[in-house]
Amino acid sequence: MSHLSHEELWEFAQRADAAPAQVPEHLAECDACSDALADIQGAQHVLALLPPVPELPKAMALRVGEALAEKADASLLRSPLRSWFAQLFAPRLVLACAAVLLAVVAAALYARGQSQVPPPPELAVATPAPTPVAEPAPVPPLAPAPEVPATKTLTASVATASRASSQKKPVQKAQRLEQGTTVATEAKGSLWLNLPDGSRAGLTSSSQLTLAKLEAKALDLNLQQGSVALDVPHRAERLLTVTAGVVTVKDLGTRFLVSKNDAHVLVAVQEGEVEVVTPNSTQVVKAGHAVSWHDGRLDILNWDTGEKPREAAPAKASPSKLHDDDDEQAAAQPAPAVEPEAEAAENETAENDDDEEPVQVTPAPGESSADEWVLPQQVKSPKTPAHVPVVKAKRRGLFNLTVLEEKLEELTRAFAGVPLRESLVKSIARAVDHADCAHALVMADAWLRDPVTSLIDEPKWRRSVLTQKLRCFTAQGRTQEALDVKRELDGP
Amino acid sequence: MTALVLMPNDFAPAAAPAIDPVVDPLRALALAARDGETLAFTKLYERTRDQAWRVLYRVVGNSPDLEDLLQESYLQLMRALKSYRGESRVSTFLHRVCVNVGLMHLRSRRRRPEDATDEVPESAGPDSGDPERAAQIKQAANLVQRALSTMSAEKADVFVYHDLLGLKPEEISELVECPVNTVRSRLNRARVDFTVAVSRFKVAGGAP
Repeated sequence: MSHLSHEELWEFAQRADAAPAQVPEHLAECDACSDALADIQGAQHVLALLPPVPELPKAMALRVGEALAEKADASLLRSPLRSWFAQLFAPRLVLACAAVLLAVVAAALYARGQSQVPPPPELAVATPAPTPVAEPAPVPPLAPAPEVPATKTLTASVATASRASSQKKPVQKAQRLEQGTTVATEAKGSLWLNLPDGSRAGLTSSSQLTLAKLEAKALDLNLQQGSVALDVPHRAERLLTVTAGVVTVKDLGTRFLVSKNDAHVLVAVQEGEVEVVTPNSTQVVKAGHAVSWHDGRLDILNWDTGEKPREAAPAKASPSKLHDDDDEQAAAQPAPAVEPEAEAAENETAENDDDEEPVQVTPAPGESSADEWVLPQQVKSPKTPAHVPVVKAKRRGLFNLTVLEEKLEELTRAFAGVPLRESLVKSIARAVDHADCAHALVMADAWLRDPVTSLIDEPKWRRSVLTQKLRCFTAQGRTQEALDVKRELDGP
Repeated sequence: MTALVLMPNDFAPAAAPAIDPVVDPLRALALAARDGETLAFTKLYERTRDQAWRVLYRVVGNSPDLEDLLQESYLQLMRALKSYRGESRVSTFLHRVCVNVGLMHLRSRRRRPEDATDEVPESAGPDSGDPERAAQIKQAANLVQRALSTMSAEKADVFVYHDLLGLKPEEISELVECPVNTVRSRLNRARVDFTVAVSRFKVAGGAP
């Protein structure tokens, strides 16, 4: 019998019991095969000694992620001009240019060899008269070099725009927006911006946002009104903040929404966490939660489950306090992230948190089951499954702003309906107290236009709003309108 | 020796089978990253980094260069994304990139023997209470890496996929784009080379 093959010996070393009977018989007689088997067993022993692979260290994962994010910015987000310029130096073009140059040189040399005839005498002696050399124009003094800013400012770009404007001019797709630019959306408008760090900001309708700071290490967005949704990769070396009135939201790596109107500022977090800084407190808000700042108070709401706040505490002007904490503690020091049961709910969410699946928002009874973070479907790729998240159709944004707005309205109605309605009344009164009648009248008209008849205090609040209107009209000398309001107040 | 340098068209083989996007959800991210969405690339990294880490760790062992190699693998992926057409599996490609980066590293280390004595970083190493056992493990890992660095690229690829990462010949066939029978024959030859190399290094440096 010939020697056993290496393959047979390897299999035998792995599973001796499964080997054919003649293999051990042969090994008993053949020293060469026995020696080969010993070597194989040694090799397999070495393989078996290899330790299990440990977990990827988190710090390393973060460091690599941050380094890659920077490279991705540089590599994937190159300007069209730069990539066009780079194309000029593609090997094919360089070779083609070299070939053309070689051909031209060869043709010139050939032509020179053919025309070794001396030129005609008149041409040979026709030396042109020297041209008088003009006096050189005095060189203007160099303008002083512009001061280089200490920190390099960057630009944002428009990803998609619909009924959106910047400085009262419609914005165009791919338009560059400098630091300090204010962008606004009309009713039913929307705007997605690519921020210089790779983050994306989406403005819902009737919103206004200023790109207050666009620097490599600091991005500040100032939301004047409306809502902005953000999808932000966390980077330790860069701080992204959104300012909405007196509330500042600091990104800690997340998807979140900031919404501001006259009465309140709402911050809702879908993924990751943000830090919300108010004049009185600092609150870390984690995924699935939202906070509402109104009347000097920060209330925690449950964004995911649709649970209402525990109680609609009466609004207090000061001191501000967190909804779930003890008075002094809340006012004195930053509060913990979320309450325990909320934490548990969040953990459940986190366990199922696979970015490939859009996070399903459990609808409250009576609410629609719309998922506000559902991404737009790919238009041109029917093969793409509906659940694949980061797919953009024609470079659309990562969130569906329309659905997000609907969710926001639901949230306003479901969670903050009562306090919001009440706080609006107070805002109107405050505006009148500060002699800001124009603003107060706009708010009052908006308040009266959308009555909520189911609320017990609605008639009382309505009288209060009408009273403020009356004060305004009286102060402005609008007698007829004041009389109309008075009649309405005195009516049944 | 076959060059292990990745060519752009590695990522989109002409005869690549149609990928079911349900099976490869990373495809959408890769396409978005290709189109300049840096956030998509970040997400791609976050979802695949553990897989890349496992492959690299298995190939190069507990090396202080692991972080650089992980980054290098993703940089290669980033470059290759520019020619990505969505026809091949992202995870498959990443697998291949990591194995190539790891093997290239082993070869370069072999050429520079002064760098061959890597200190085990404490953060990533398996914690063993038995110093003798730990020394054995370290020596075994060292033997495997030295043996791999002496093998040809084709054989080393197949050996790593099969005997270190536990892939089946059918899966390897897709990775290396050759028939299953070719994979099997390469694997046999790779095992011969591996056995010979390990025996030789054992004699030279003492058995684990």
